Amino acid sequence: MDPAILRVTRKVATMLALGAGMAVAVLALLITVDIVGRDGFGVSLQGTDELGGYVLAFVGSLGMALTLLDRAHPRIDIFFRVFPAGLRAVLHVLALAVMAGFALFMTWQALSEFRQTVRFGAITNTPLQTPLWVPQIVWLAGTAFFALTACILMVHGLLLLRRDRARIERLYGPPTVEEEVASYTETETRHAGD
Amino acid sequence: MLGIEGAAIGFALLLFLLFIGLHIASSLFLVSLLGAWLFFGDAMIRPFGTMMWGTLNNFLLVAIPLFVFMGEVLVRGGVTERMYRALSDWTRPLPGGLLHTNIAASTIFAAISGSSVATAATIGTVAFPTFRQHDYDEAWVAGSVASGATLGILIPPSINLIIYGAITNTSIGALFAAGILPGILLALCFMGIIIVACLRNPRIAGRTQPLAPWSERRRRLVDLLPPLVIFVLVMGSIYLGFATPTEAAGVGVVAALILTGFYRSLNWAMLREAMLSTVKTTAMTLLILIAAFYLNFILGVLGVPAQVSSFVSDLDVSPFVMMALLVALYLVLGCFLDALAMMIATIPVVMPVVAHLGYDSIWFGIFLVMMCELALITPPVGMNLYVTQSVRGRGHVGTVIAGVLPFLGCILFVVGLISVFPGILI
Repeated sequence: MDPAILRVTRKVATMLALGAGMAVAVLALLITVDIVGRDGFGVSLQGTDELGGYVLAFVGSLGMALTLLDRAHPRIDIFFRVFPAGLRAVLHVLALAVMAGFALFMTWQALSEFRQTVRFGAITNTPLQTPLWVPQIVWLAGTAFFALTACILMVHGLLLLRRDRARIERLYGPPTVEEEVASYTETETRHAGD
Repeated sequence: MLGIEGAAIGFALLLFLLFIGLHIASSLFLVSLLGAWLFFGDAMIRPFGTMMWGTLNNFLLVAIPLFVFMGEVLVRGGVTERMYRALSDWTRPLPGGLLHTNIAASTIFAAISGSSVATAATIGTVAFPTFRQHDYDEAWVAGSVASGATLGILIPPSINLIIYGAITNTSIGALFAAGILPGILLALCFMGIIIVACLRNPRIAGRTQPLAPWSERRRRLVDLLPPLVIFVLVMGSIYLGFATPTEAAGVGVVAALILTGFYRSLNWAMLREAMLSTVKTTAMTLLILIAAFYLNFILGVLGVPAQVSSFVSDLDVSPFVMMALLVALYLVLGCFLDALAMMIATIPVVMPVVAHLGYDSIWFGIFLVMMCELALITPPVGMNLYVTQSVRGRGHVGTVIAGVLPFLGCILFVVGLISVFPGILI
């Protein structure tokens, strides 16, 4: 069994990713309506391109945690595949630690960007006149959650280093090709991990 | 400023970080952060936040989740299986029979999906059971599946071309248009080599089977329509100027949803999976891109592209030798680097070299994507080899590798062709 905190993290990460996914679907609908209106009837929704940018930022922040949990951030495993199991486990945890550092750095940078936006009360120079802090707070929150997830996984990995190195391989090693293929060929809902 | 030696040390460090298994994104980030900190201190670290927001807000890149989503919906909606069956009716009479179906189906599939792994997995799943009933040579079956799937990143829409366009400020519409002809050319080469091989050794193609009755074949022809409609809709609206690539992708998603709804395979479980998969693929790509844009920025302020450019012009070798060297470099890198990582990490350095040789950025984009195609099927890390082997589910990956060799030659041939006649791309 995984600790409760991991299960909760996965639940939240899945919810956030699903939210970002729905934003993509809604964006597609908006774009289609916009194009049909523009080319067919000469009326245009304003600002779908701007909204598209925000949707991308949502995907690139809210989706990061689940991507990490499902081990979909790629690594090159050709060389360390031949390393002994003990060393591999250490490297898996090291990769998580560096990722956690990267994520924390991004959160710090996103925070200072966000604070600047708030300080200047930045409003986009577009028909929508979006107050920039609105999309940016989602971005900041998603990135912060990604950093939190990476830290949790790192700590879990560190704890497992002493107790159960085989689990590290299973949980934090690169996914096997079979898993990757299964994601395209299985029609049923796949519950990754655990 | 950083000399050519410094750049080489940086690249070696990047390879080292990749080899000890750090994530590709973190490796790129660490190397650029180190460069920024060593040469400029804090000053060049502070722009990161602004650049990150800029990357995530890039309207060109919005096409990525939309195209991925479109492909996901179509794959999960069963469009591939129907298309495969319909195609096999018409390729069967050729020498090599069903083998051509793999190539033709991959070509068409490539036109609705930008992912090579998705193509190999779905085409392979349909293909292997069919072939086993007819005693085909497994190496050729596997080779045609793995190689045909590489067309996915060349024929538009292509995620790799979108990324390339965003990094190098090249028109994505123009890149898409330029990818069509070499893609078709490559597919024809693949089919040509199958025909030649089967004429010399008919046993490759197993037993011949009777064709389905004419009426049935005609009825199944309808199944070819969905991918065709989507391709014409997406590429047509870009080409005729009705829509930007991102807008076309949005329309493609809606069309894909309507089509799968028509096939009665649209439901919440399928949509949920398609969405999660789209988000993961996009987030994975974006994290690498955030690091890559920062790396490009740092390399730029360090003056590395200019250094490489002057270094190469001092070398004074003929353009032909230079091209051959580049292909050799990519073949080697492709053997152990992931295709996307290879592309992103080499663009800033190789771009000035190619410009020096007199090729434009559209040409280089197509060239680079073809190098990625090679990387996808060269051992030991060619992703398509393993995906195909996994779908095949028996024997050894060596069979797939052997099967891929003739097709590898085809890719090199087409690369040579576009190098000698760059005009093909327009």
